[in-house]
Amino acid sequence: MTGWCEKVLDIDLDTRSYKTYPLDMEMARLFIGGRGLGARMLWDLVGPGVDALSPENVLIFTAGPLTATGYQTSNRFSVSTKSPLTGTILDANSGGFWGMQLKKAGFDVLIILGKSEKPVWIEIKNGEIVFHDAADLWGQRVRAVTAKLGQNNNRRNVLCIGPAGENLSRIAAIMNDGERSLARGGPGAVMGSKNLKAIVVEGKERPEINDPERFKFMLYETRKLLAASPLTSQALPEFGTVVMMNIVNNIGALPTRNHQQTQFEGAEAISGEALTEKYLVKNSSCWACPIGCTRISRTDKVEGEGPEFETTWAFGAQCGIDNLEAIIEANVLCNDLGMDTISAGSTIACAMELSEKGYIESDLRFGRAELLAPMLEAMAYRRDLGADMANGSLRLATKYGHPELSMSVKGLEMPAYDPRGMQGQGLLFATSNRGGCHMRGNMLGPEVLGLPKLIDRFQVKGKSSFVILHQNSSAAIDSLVVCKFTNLGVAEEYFARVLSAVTGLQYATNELFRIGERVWNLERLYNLREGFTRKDDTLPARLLNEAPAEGPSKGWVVQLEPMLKEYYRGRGWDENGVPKPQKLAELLLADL
Amino acid sequence: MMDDRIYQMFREIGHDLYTANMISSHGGNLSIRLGDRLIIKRRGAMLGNLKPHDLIETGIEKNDSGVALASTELLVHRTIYMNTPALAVVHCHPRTAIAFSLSRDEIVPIDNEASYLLKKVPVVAEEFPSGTPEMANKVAKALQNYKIIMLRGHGSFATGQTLDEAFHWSSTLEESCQIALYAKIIDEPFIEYRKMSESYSKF
Amino acid sequence: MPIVKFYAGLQKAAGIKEISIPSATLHATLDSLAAEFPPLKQLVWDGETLRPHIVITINGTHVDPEQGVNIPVMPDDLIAIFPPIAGG
Repeated sequence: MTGWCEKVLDIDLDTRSYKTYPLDMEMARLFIGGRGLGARMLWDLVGPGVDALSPENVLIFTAGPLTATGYQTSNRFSVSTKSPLTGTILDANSGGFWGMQLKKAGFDVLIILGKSEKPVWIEIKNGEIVFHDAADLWGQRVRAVTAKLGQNNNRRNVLCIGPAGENLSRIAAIMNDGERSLARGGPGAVMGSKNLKAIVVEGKERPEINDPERFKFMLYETRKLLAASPLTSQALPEFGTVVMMNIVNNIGALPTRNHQQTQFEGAEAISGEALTEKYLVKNSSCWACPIGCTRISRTDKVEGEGPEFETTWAFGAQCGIDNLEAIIEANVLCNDLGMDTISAGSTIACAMELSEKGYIESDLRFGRAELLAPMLEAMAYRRDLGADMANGSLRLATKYGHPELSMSVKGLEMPAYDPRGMQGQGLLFATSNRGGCHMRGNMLGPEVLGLPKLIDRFQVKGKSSFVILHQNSSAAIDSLVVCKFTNLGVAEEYFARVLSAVTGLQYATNELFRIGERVWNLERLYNLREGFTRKDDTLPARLLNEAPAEGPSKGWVVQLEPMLKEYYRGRGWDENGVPKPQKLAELLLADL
Repeated sequence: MMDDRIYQMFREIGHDLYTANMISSHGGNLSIRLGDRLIIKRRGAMLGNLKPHDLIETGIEKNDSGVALASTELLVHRTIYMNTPALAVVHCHPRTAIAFSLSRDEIVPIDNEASYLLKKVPVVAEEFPSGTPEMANKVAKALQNYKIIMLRGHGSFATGQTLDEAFHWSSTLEESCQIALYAKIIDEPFIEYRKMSESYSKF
Repeated sequence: MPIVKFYAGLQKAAGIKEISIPSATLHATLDSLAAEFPPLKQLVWDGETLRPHIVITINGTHVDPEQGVNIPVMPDDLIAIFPPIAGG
């Protein structure tokens, strides 16, 4: 088959050895690559009871058959592991160049097993795998390491952890190509626990394409569609993802001060419009991407990629901070330290509320922008209160007696949408397999932007249909692997046809949704095996019981119960959220 | 009690279909999915002038509405929901598209809009094109890879996330077929204006 | 007087970020805006219909395009107009 390299590389850090073997193509046919393939392999490799920070956990980096083909946004890749933050199955997804290079090096999958006795970095170059001592890199930050190891966007790509990962912060990220990240759920800590500092890849191969004519047609159609959509041709390149700030705030769905309010008076000051006006140098893009949503921002002190909407919200509205300069600088610092910006910001916000209420002794207060940078450093190096904060908001809040003040689901801090202003988003967060996350489906389209059509954000009945559809679709897209922003202009029927053109296997559009559904159910089974139950499909009490006192979402709490009941039925699960046998048989998961 | 917004949505699209000559007085059908339930027009109701009591809610897996629906219609819709990610279905009788369906296995548009949106519309055929499980399965299967298909001599089935979307595909198809009909009447050599158009029939 | 605020690309198209428009309905407001800022005819309102995927809120509540724009506007209403945008 074409598209895939059909090769897996296993690296054993215990013995500093490696082996390559053929990819199970039957598995690949059913799970494609990226998130799907990674989930399936993780199922076999990491069972219940394995501590996420023990040598028995693994890191599975996966590309997909589309990766490196040159199809628009065919640069993305995944890492699958058990999350040290949530204990659930985790996949994190990143862009840039590294994933593309992994394919050029000849591999669909790279699995890191075991633990190195001493810090090590790995070089994969033209078929050779070399282990290098990393003593002189250990302790260094991401930018320095990336430069030192010879980062060159199209030819040689560095993936590494910063001090946060080395110090096993449960919200640590794995960074690639300098400022791209595999961040949510703390995969950086897993890498740190293995004493693995970096993986550098260089390669020369290109994936084979089964039907070049058809592929060329798909490229042409996709180019047309992305150019025709104002979302991908105007809004994103001009304003970046931060363009969401004003609209989400306007409707009263912007979590503020640790979700105490749903509107932030400083939203305009930290919006995409403000960023473009005052601090934007230019936009940029990942490999093979015509959209260009990446920001390059500059203040007096720093210049770097980003910030994205979620980051700007997390360090901004969530912390009551309206100082965009400080937020830009916090983002650059957070990336350099190697930490998830969403979890970091929301954990700081949680600490701010704990402090203001007197549960913690600290001078953290909402609005204190000058404390962002020192707190991030304290978290990365586990100093003072930072040592507790490095474990995420749930462990922090629990330690100080108030777990209900962690704005997280299954331990993962929720992103920039307050579900009291978007009912469907509440269902999404409660049911996402990796915890409170918007990237595994997103009701932003239907509930806020009117894409494809506006549905009432306060409506409850029938919401689950949209949530299920979006969850399945995004699982499929994460398995191809391409960027979800392509989906803003290009429907799933095109992805099915590109996949067919590249691989030679005929995937119907429906099959793509089926694969998404399969991946979703497999992830669910994994979490059930870990001991998660219906009780964990919930939201913080604040969102279920405390209605906003003001603003357009005034008086609303999340009506989770009816939506959840309808959701389980719609998914073919029983009333405890366990997939029924006939659903598993339908999805060819019955033997798991 | 039918949600008024849902009723208004059905009423508007039903009316638009009728005034666009895409259905007869009592023909065609619309449905939407809500979780594991669906809402559909009652048997004998007129899409062009729907009343609130003309909409029925029932189960996708089983018809539990207790109302005698047009069983032919309901089975197809349920089969579509059980076999595709559709959240809405529009079934209508676009007359020009039906005429073209009689003599070909796929309709490949020549106009710009339908080339852009649809690329190609397959035609499936069934001996008794109404009401049987065979027909329902055939239609549902074809909709697994295309958002609108024709059932030869009978009409179109279109799916979408909303009724609007499914209506959009239906209306685009009929417009496209009307243009193709005019081109046939004009009967002059076709000057290809679209890049890579030879790929549309392979979509 | 009701205030209208523009966002993202509309700020450049209109040349301003916000303006007060005396009017009693959204329809009238849009007519005034299109007259005052011609680029908005193409981008927002052509006199009869809203352009696809324009989002308008009044005091944070979405205007449902299905309901049409003949809705009353109060003197202290805040009308926000967003062009097609997306993010994460």
